Amino acid sequence: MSNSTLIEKKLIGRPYWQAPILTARINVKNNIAHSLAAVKAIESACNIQVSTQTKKLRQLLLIAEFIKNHTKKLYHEILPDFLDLETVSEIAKLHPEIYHNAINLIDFSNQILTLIGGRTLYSIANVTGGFKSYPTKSEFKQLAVQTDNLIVTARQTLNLCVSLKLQSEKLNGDFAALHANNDYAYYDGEIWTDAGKLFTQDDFQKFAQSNLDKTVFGPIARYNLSQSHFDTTTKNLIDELKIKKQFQSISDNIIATAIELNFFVGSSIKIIDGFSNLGPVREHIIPPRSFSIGTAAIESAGGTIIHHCELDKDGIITKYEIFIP
Amino acid sequence: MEIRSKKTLAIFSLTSCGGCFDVVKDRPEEYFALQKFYTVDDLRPKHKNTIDKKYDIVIIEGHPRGKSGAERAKTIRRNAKIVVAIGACAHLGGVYQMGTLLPKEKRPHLILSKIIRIDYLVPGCPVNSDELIRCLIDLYWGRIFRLPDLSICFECRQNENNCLLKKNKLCLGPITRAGCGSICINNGEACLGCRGSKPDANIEKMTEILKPIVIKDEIDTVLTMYGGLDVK
Repeated sequence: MSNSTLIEKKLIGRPYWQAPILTARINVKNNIAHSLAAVKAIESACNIQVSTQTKKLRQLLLIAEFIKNHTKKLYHEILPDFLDLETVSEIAKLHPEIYHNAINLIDFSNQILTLIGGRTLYSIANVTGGFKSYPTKSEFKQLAVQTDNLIVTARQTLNLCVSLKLQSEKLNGDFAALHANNDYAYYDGEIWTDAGKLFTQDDFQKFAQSNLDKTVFGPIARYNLSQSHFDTTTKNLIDELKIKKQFQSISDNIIATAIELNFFVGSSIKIIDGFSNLGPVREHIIPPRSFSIGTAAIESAGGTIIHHCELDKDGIITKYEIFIP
Repeated sequence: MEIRSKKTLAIFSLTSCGGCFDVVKDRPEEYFALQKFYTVDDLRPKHKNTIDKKYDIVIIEGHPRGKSGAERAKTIRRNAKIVVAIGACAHLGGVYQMGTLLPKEKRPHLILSKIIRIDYLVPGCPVNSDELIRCLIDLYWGRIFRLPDLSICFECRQNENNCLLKKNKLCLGPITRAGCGSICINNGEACLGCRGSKPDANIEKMTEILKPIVIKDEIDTVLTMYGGLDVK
């Protein structure tokens, strides 16, 4: 049994509020994505509509996880190979400037996670119906001060990735990711594939049951399906560096990850600036109105995650399913 | 200052989310400071190949799942001078432990302390990185690492939080071992007992206190969220 299967079984018979706490522990890398997918699925089952502010704070949490995962992927997994080094400690000794770029980005994401979620791992404050605690306007201001160099750092990361001599092994398969009409989708949207199929979030079972063996998820799929929805800064970056509009090879995932890193750093700064001008307003947690069935999809660094829950009349979980690419 | 040679430290993962040692690695300054005292082998992705090497100190996160997990834990124990179990998975069985909800014979997981002798424990989900670093520094200098015997309520009061139980809200603070700085309650959430029970915790009394607050079945599910509070 995989970790997710064990959690699916453990959730049966438990109250709905335990789902985000337990599913976050499926995988440390995607703990925010799983807890948010669970929160959204439960809210859908409980007929809860959260405020725009709650959505913004959750998006910021998810962005922080993207920044951390993308940085670790690029600097801790990929770059050591290209620099012919084995460990991060060796990078720190021989290429301190590269090492410090990674540290700055990871530190930034950890600060966001601590500020909004209460700690770097397993967010405490984010629960079904809203947030249990809120950062202050001055805390956001303190964070905003530190964002000056991060755009440069993210840009340097992209330049470094573009300069790598990448092999071009062709990817065979469909690309699948969340897609929205106006935004680069990572928090909400419908599931799209490049083969033209479209699934709403309620079609979860139809999507999960379709043949996904050769389906590609993650940064490369999101880039191929939604890059027209990037903000102007990211679009200019793509044009300036003459990066192609459609990726087809496995190593292109490195470039797609670095582009997303730039996009997420830019997006996080916009949200942080917004909250440092008009601090978050303390809102009450919205209680469930009824209990039924809910499904939600969200993007994680590795691709689309879907959670599906069924609740009885007392809010006890009778069925829980998790789709992980 | 006394000059000592580095000790060897290995980190092994059994069944877990893999997050406990990451809380230390996410703080690079502390992680590199640790490397002044230890030669660190993070063997989590490739533990099967290197399990037979001998180490001064071994950290185990996760719990042994099935026979193969138990055998792996025993081999690690044989080759380690000191074993430190970290996190709720190693301590209580963790979120993957089905707890007391299943009959004994159907429980798919085992608790580490029932399989091998554990010298030190750093509890929590995830572990408190300060506590883990303190443990490793103590062990390097040959000191005995001790966990606090107090309950979370002690730290919660120091942090000037309002008591959730007095507001008729669920909280396992009175029976849970201190040491996390009441981090969950500071952020508005209840203590759900991820650090396990403090010595002499009165779980029956706690259940009585919770009866008017949550329904009976819910109390059981809360007590088994991280495996089971009653495992010392």
